[in-house]
Amino acid sequence: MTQLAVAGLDKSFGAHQVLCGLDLDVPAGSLTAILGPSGSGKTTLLRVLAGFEHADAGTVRIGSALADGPGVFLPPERRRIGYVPQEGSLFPHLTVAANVAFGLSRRKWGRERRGKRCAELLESVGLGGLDRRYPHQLSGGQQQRVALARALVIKPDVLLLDEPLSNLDAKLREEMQVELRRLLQNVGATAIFVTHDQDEALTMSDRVAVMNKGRIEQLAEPRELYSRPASLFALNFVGLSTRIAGTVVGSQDGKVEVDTRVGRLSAMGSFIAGSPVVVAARPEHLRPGAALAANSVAGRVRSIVFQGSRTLVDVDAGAGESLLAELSGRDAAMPRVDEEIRLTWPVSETFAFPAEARA
Amino acid sequence: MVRSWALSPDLSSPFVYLTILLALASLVLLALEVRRRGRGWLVALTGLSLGVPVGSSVYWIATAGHPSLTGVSMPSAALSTALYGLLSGGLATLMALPVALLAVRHPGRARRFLERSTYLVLAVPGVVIALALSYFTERYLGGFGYQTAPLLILAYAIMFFPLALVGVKASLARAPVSLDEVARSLGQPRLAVLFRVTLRLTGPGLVAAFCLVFLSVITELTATLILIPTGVQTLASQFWVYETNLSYGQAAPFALVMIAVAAIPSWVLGRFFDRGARDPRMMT
Repeated sequence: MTQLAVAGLDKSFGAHQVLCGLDLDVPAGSLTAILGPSGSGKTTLLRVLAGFEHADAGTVRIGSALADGPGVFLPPERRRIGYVPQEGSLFPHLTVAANVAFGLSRRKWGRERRGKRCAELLESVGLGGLDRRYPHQLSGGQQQRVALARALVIKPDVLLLDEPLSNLDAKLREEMQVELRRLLQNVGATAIFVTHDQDEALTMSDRVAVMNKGRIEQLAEPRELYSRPASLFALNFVGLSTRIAGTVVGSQDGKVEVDTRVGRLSAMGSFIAGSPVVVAARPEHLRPGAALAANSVAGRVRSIVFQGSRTLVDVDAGAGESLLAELSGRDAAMPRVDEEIRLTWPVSETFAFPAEARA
Repeated sequence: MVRSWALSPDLSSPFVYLTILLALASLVLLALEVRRRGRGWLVALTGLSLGVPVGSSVYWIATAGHPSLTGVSMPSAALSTALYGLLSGGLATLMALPVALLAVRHPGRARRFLERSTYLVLAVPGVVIALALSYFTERYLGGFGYQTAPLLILAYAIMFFPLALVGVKASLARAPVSLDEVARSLGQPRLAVLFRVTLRLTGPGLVAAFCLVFLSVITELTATLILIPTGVQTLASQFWVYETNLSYGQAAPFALVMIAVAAIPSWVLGRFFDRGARDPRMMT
């Protein structure tokens, strides 16, 4: 069941068009990450969904209600959305309990029922017993959890989170990513969160929408997004890769032959001959050695970066091109800097993208 | 002749000696304090700024001859002053709120210009504003409203509008828009958000703005003299009447009461700024 449906959304600020005919469907109970660089329009999208901005064109449907469309605009207070802004933005003059209860004030609930619901939520975010504290007496992570409880208290149709963890330090952020995901799954929330951090997007979501220039370039599960990026932008934005520019010389059975400055390479894709393309591969597919029916390029090792479980090897292939290989401890012979090396990778893991789409 | 001592001190006047004496006493205090805990300059400053006016007022009361002039009674002047201060302070703060909200939350070139231009009012002497208002009422309203309480209150509110604006603008920094947005996403309509969030957070700043205007109103003289309703005197205008007629003994109590009335908002302001610096609840 679709909990949130966005179709043909346009939004401009002055002459600057921020959202360009954006479409997005979010199934109930899913966690969707909107991943994009700053300026891609992801925060504006969230603000339009929340009702803080009015779309110029297109429709937003939340649950069964049309929230934004031709002649229709539901203000935020009537949208049944939960909103967790950056930095949590707790009401500084209210206690934790009063912050969480804030959204219940217009319901004709007794004090007891209200208190019970708040206590329940605080318990579920692991903050039971802190209800009398003021926001400034909490750590950053605790504040974010209170903000989450405050948003969940009204049982929103959709929960919107704007860079929810961006203000936490790196270690806490990693812990909170996992915890937040578990929390949202436990309550069965339908959540959309905006982030520019690919790790956050991959860790926390069921689906990632990669956003660029006001459009969603790809909407896919994290694994698929990584292994089958739909565009050069998506490839660049998520994970590391080797990218070599070239020109298509032949095409057959969904594969293309590409002439590059480091030799002829094969890649998945279909282009007409003469198209300028970028050939790309993920670093873990590049292996030292040679093989038949595979892409293979030789070069000189420029640098080796040891990262614990993996080692990244940067190879200068000449002509201004470079290769990036990820080797693990199992690869017996680790090359040295300045060593000549040949790297090989399967054609099935090589993609070709139109070059002009380079972001 | 006597008024000239303000510019060229008449050394035969006991007043001058008293002033010097007070200044010396403050310096002694300063020296003692510096030795004790190094906060002496504060004490000296307070001593000078409070000691000289209070001291001279007391002196003039003590040496007063028979009252030679009649005027409004002290309680009546104090009451009108307080009322004018309260109403003008409230009006100026109310007027400043929408301007500050616009300037802070929806900045734009035109709005910034509008907001900045209001500070020019501070440079306009009170007498000019008062004359402008009285000209306006004479010319266009056939004298309606001239020398009435509402017009005087309006004049005060215009004159001290920039002070209120500074206070209100500063306080809005404590109520970021994101809090309003969260509140609305939690089902609160605009008006409820204004009362439950924005005004709750800016409240102390609004009180500070009000106090600043109140303080300025109780000592205002020039506009008061032009626009005050017949038969009414504020502390400052009654003081002025006695003082220009050399009846220092009669003028001095009004000065003292002015200081006393001014002390209340000053104390509130002091507490506000102290609390702002200390209370992390008020930090955002």
